[in-house]
Amino acid sequence: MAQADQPITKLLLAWRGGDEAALSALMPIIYDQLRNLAQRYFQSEGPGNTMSPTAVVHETYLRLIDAEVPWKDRAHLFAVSARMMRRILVDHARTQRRLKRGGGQRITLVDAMSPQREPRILELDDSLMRLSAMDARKAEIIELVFFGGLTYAEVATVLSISEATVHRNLILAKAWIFDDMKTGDATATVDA
Amino acid sequence: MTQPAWEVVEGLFHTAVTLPQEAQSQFLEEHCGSDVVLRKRVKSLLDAHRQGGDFLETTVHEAAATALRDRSGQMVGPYRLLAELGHGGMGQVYLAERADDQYSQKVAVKIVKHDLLGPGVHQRSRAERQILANLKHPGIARLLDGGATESGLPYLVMEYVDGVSIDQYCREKLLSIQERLKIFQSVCAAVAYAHRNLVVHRDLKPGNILVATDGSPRLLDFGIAKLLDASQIEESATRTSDQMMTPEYASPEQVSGGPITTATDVYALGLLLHELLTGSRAFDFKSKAASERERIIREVDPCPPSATSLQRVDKDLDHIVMKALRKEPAQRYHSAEYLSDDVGRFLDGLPVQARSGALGYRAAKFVRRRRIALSIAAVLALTVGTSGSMLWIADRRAAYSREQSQERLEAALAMANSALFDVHDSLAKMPGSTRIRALIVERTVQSLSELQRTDSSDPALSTGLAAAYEKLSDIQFRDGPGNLGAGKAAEASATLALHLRQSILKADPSNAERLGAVAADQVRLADIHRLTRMGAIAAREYREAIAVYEALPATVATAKDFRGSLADARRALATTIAAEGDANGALVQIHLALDSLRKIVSEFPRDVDARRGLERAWQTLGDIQSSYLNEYAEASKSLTEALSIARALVVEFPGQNAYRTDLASVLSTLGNTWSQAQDPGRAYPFYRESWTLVRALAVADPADARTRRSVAIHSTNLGLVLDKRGEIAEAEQLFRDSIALQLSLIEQNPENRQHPYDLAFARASLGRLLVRTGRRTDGRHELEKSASLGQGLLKIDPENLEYRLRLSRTYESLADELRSRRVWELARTGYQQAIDLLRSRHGETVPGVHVQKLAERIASCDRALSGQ
Repeated sequence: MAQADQPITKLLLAWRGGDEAALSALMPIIYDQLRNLAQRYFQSEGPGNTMSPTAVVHETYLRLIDAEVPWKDRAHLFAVSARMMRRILVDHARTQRRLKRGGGQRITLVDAMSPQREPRILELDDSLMRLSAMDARKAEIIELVFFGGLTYAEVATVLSISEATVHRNLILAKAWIFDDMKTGDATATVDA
Repeated sequence: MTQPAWEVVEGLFHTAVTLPQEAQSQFLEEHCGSDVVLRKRVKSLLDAHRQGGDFLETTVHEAAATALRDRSGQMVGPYRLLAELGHGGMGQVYLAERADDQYSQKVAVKIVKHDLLGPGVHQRSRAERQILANLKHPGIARLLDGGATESGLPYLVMEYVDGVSIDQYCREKLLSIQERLKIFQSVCAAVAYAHRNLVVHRDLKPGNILVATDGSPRLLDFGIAKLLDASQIEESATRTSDQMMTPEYASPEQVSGGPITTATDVYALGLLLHELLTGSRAFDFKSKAASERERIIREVDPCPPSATSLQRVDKDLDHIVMKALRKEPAQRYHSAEYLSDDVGRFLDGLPVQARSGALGYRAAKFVRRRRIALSIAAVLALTVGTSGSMLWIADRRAAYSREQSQERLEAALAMANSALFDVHDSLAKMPGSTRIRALIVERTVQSLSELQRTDSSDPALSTGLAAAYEKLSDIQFRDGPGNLGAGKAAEASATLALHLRQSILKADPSNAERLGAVAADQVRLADIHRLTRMGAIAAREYREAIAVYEALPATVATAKDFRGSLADARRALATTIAAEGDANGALVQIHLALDSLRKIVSEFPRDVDARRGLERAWQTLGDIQSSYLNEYAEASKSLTEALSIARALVVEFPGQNAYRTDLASVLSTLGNTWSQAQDPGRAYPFYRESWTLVRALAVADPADARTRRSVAIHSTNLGLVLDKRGEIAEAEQLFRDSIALQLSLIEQNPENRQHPYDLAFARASLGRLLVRTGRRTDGRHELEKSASLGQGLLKIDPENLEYRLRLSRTYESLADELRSRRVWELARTGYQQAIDLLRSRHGETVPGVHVQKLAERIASCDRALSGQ
């Protein structure tokens, strides 16, 4: 079970248990680890690089979580991690947006910059919350797959459902979110 | 309206999604019946399923990439990154602050992502960065610093501007056309300032122009495009700058690879004005193929603003915009100032200039092949790298096998030869290639010297090395465009070459070719000394070279090349001794040169070198006639001969910058002639044309110190005639531009005596203008600075007539100023010093009337003093 001498594992479990203080303790550790990996990620960036950021995240957790932890618990930890990833990305996007709202220098360098659009991740987050209110399971599946980098099999284990169910749920959840975000756009335009 | 139950929607979706698309609507008809809302809901989800694709992956990927990339909190040099402001293909921009600052100034730090810029480049780009850092204007965000991160990525630190882009500002503030035009004029002023400092923006667009809360515009990234671009040319053959341009803001010359000049920015200003007037881009290339975009940019005029604007736009503004947007750079406004002036005329209700030229305008096809040439350059640069290692291999092997080494040696020499002559010469024709050529030659010199250390006996090796030193010296200095202004280094290289040539000659003292090579190096050294104002040494070296040419056996001496070289040496000697005060001796030499060159040209009418030599000889004659003999009409005739050759060469070889430099030089000599003849009206068009020519050249190759110097001199000259014509404001600006340029040149190359000499003249000119227009204190300071420069020069070369004449004039101006303030005693001293300078060894060439005038002034001071 959870290793008492594994602070990260312990903190993750504590957070899963509803301890918000555990999250504040986790954040810097995970950020650091992400940074290290990010360095490697960007060094390898260039033509032909296919390593996805989600893979970086997944690898981060693999490093942080003790390999001795039994598989079932590890899957749960990934679930927690996926939530944290979502949180990190959304927080980052919010900070960015706040800065942009403050006006200030555009980035130009030499290359063409398409006008910076609002980060879609924030809309996605809103949409996920709406989905969760209606169908929490589907929202969770989306989170596990897209923020946690879990395979369908892993998701199935975490949620104790069949892989086929994971797949079915995912198809509809994706369509729902796409539809929801599109509608959100339309509403915003009308409002403006 | 009630939402259909989620379970029902879910059930229908899962069944329908398995059906082919055509069958889906029938399925929904059957199962939803009259429940339109339910049917719509499911249909909408089915559509979303089809259209969604990878949007979730993409969204999360983007967000993760952004978050992971973020270096906020890290240090770059002494700067702490606070937050990422944005990113693009080239790198990232951060809001940052200096960590060691007491007051925390906010800056923008730009980090270039890929290490396109190889090791040595940082150092080489430092000079250009310095030029950019010297741009100080309220309308330009300053470049503050630069360096490399710990991991070696280059970064630039710019002033942080808090504002919104100019298009957004105009839109949000609902500015009137009048207000937009005013802001536009401020932008033009900033651009004009940079152009005066020979910096072209190259990437002007609304996103690069921020308007601060007080309504003043600030231009970002001035010259940065060039800075990054120049480094890439050297290091990467795979990308060219135009691929990174925003296509909507690219100029015809940028897509066709033509030279980038101030006219490129004028074009961009035209696009900006168009956009400010209409609220939309002049060109919209959404969903157009690259080739189609380029064709449009090269051939199609955008709609005039009045046709697309929602507000009423006057036809005059159409004309202004369209004139700025001409496809042919020479057809546009000559400068950002002229564009701004025309906008000003419109605002004042005056007729605009753009209308007058519009009828005659025909878009000319404009195809240049510079882009191709540049990729070739990059490939060739790689070849040279290879030849360097070849030489190294040759060197190593020498230790093992004598025989094999001979073979390698020959291969290495062949490579070096190719680097020096094929590669170098093909690059020399391209503007902006100075640094890369220096690099090529330096590497070749290095490799050959290494080889020579192991085997100094091989004459082929010595010859190769001498040739390399000669090239290096030429790039470092020689009379011609494309050099780095390093007089001392050039002198050292030329001396090494001469010694090698002399030792090669020793083995076969009557070998005509080897004799010619020695003479050529003597001329090379003499040129350097003449141009760094060491006239006496230069004259001696020219005479030595002439003696060598004359001593050549008659069979060889008749060869065209030797005759041409001899004539060139005579011409250079004529220039030198004329400046040293021997005008008659100079006339003898120049007539000998002219006779010889005319014969060569009539024998070989297609020989470009001979024609160029003849042109220069005419020019030298004209210069001597006007500057030293005051025969202005005669001088004008000689110079007109030179002008017709110079113009013909520029027309025949439009890609050769050297001929443009020649043309500018002839034009300015004509300007000088009329200026000395006290006829500023006739001098003006010549000065204006030559100034425009050299400015365009300097902008094309900002590393070229000689062209920069040329711009400075031309600015002073043009300023002088404008001053005489009463156009004080532009004259003053030109003097100040010239001074600023000279100061930066002196900083780069403190040994060169030309720069202080030129600077002294510019300061004196400005000083006189200031005194005359009532700014006496400032004017006196300029005159005093000029005098102290002149004194410094005279200490080094006490008999130099030019130094004496100029310094005497400066003392006279200072004394005039003192006399007008009734400071008789000091004024008298000033006049006396002015006279003393004229009464030196060569006093006889100075018109006596001038001395007489000074003597009268002294007498008037004396009268005032005795009357007190």
